[in-house]
Amino acid sequence: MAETFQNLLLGFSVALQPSILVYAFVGCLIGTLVGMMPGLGPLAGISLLLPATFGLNPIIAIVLLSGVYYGAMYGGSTTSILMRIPGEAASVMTCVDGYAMTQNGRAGPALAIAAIGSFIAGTFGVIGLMLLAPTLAEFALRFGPPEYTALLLMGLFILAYMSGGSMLKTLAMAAFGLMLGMIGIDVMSGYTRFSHGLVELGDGVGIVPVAVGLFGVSEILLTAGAPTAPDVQRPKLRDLIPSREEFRLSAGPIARGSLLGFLIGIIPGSAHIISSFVSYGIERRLSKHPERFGQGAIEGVAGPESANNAAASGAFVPMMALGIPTSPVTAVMIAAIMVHGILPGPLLIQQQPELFWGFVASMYVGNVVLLILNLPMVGLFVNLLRIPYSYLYPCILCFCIVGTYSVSNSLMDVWILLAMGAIGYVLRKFGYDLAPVALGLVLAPMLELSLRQSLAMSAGDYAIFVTRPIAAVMFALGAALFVFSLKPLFGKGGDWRASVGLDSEQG
Amino acid sequence: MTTLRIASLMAAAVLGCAAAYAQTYPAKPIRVIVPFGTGGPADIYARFLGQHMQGPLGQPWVVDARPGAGSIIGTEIVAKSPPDGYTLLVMSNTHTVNESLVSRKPFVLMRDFVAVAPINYSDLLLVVHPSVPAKSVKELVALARKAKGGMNYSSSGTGTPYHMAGELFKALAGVDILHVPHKSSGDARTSVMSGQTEMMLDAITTMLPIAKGGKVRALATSGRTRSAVAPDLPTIAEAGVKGYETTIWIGVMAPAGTPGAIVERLNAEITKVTNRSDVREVWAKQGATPFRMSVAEYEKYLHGDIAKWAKIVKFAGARTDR
Repeated sequence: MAETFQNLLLGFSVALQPSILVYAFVGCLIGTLVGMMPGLGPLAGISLLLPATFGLNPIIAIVLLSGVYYGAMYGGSTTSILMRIPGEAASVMTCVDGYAMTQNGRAGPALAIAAIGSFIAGTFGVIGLMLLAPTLAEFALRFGPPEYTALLLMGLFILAYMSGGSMLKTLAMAAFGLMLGMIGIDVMSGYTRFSHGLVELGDGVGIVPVAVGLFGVSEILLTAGAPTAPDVQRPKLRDLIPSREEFRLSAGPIARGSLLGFLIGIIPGSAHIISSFVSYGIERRLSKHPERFGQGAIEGVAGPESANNAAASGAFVPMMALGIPTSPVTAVMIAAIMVHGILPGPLLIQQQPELFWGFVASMYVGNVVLLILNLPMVGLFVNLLRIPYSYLYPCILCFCIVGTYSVSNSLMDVWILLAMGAIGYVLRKFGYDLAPVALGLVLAPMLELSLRQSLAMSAGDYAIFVTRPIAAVMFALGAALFVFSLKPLFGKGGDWRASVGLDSEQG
Repeated sequence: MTTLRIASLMAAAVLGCAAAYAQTYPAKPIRVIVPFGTGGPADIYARFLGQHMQGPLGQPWVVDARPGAGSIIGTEIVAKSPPDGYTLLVMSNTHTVNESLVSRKPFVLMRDFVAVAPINYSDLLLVVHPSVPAKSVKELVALARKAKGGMNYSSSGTGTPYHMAGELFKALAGVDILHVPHKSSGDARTSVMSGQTEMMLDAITTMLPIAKGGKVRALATSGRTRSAVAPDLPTIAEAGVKGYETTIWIGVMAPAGTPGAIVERLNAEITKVTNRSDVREVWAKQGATPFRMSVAEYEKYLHGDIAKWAKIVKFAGARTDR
């Protein structure tokens, strides 16, 4: 413990140097802006900034890039809450209740809780990284394809808890998402599927254009199609601060979201995207009033936002402790330090204590910077809502298109965005919930790959899923979740869905 | 005036223009398309090269990452660009493998492009999970022979250089080892570190620190000569698999029809950079070695590489239609 403390002091002595502090601040600011741009997520942000770090020293490079990374995680919630546009994949769930809160005139509290939740989760994640990195990384390595399959299946079962509308509609949307996820190259055999000869579809349908199209563009179309323009909001200062009740309701979701997000984040693979979905499903399940979800429940903002920030910190555990990337974002960050001749591996923490502890300390600093940056700006952001829709929405549509294009300079993504906007418009007219589409699209390729890798490892023997202890436990949990979700279908009157009726208009 | 004379006059005029054109080259920024992901080795080295090329060329060297579909999307953009020396392609052995691996693609490498210059190459490191009893390549081959297909190796995806390096190993050692593809090289590396898969051929830069940390056991390197960063390890060929040699290399090509004078100029400038001792030093730390060839040598090398991989692709029965 004393040693950790001493190391941390070393870290702060690095992180609090004015030159590094400036870069942490700049990184957080750029990240916040990048996260707010629809379509531009953390990956695009740090990829664009990567070449600029070649001339800097490695500590500054990593501080700058990690600032951009979790800055984007904070910023992603802003457009989700205010305009129903997910800045990046992890904010999809925030759109649902965050935007509903905005429509109820509670945009300020939603933004504030998102910032506070992110701060708590981010700090929790750094503490976890600092104290447990090597131990946790060893644990994370036990997560092979069979365990991953089990985790993703649990993610699939969470679907049942995700929406308030009819189960049939939810499952239909999930199936639509899973089918979208089947497009592209089959990694095992190398054949393309459902690409209709379009080379651009070879890599599959990206989550960004789909999420921005389904949620953002469809919202713009719906507003344009409304018989009367909705009233422009005039938020008062009093409405910016969360009420005591809202704080009370958020405490549990933030705590659970932080823990859950961190645990999912340390697992190698891209599972961290599902952390916000899983958190939302759990909060809805645990809530005494699940019918409030989708109508502006603050828990539906607090949980997922905390989970995605904790997952962002969790992803640094295997990167720092073992030198392996758990996501495309950490892969780019590893490249950023490798350019300087530092090779990340199991010995990094011992060989480069200044880098590791400086990085850890800069994450504490960065989280504080982001809180300071975001809380006062809540008032400013909320005032964006004062802009009349006829001016605001065309601008947003432009930003959506530019942002989506810039992710991989692909016109195909723009077409997908527009098509998804149209599909989202029609589906919402018919009262379908759209979040399951996003989850299905994220899950399908990962689930398929890990299932087939598992079977390749066992030479086709399904016993591999029950003979490995972690996988077996997770499958049992998943099965329990599944049975539990079926119960209301058979129990009489026990289904809260029946008392809610069709509340999916918000979806 | 006969048709022939008109033609020769026109040809002379065109050639004259081309020569004059080459003298003023480059008159505007050069767009360098990297058909791989930002932050990957090709991207990093392309930008690194750019830092040193902008001075002598007097024009910006703009790296434009166009990843997707296993390099095909970005490569196609260059194939369709005017052959004026203002659009260049950064390519790697992914391209020479794809020639035989990918059945439908919108270009043919040696028809639609001309060789400019190679940049550098990195060795691969053959590693096994510590639970695998083999301490040398010979023991590994014996083990694999005994297991009769019961062992597996990890790669970053079907048709990637890592996959092909594994197939080459199988072909030359005469053993059967099951291929388990992953979504990225990071995932593949994690898999062998955690013992989910038993062995892998991975870029020496990323794998060597992990081997030094004891998470995997390094057996050999893949180049023709021993690696400068791991001189204690034998090459795979030295250790018993005769004729084995494969590296991850990157180079530059231009659209077919690019004036020869421009190609020569670019080759000379790139070679100047790869000749610099400070560049060699920085790259050595990263496990990369400068790769120098004349335009003609590089073209011959590319033909040879394509033929070599065609054999391995056929052996592996691998193909893809992306």
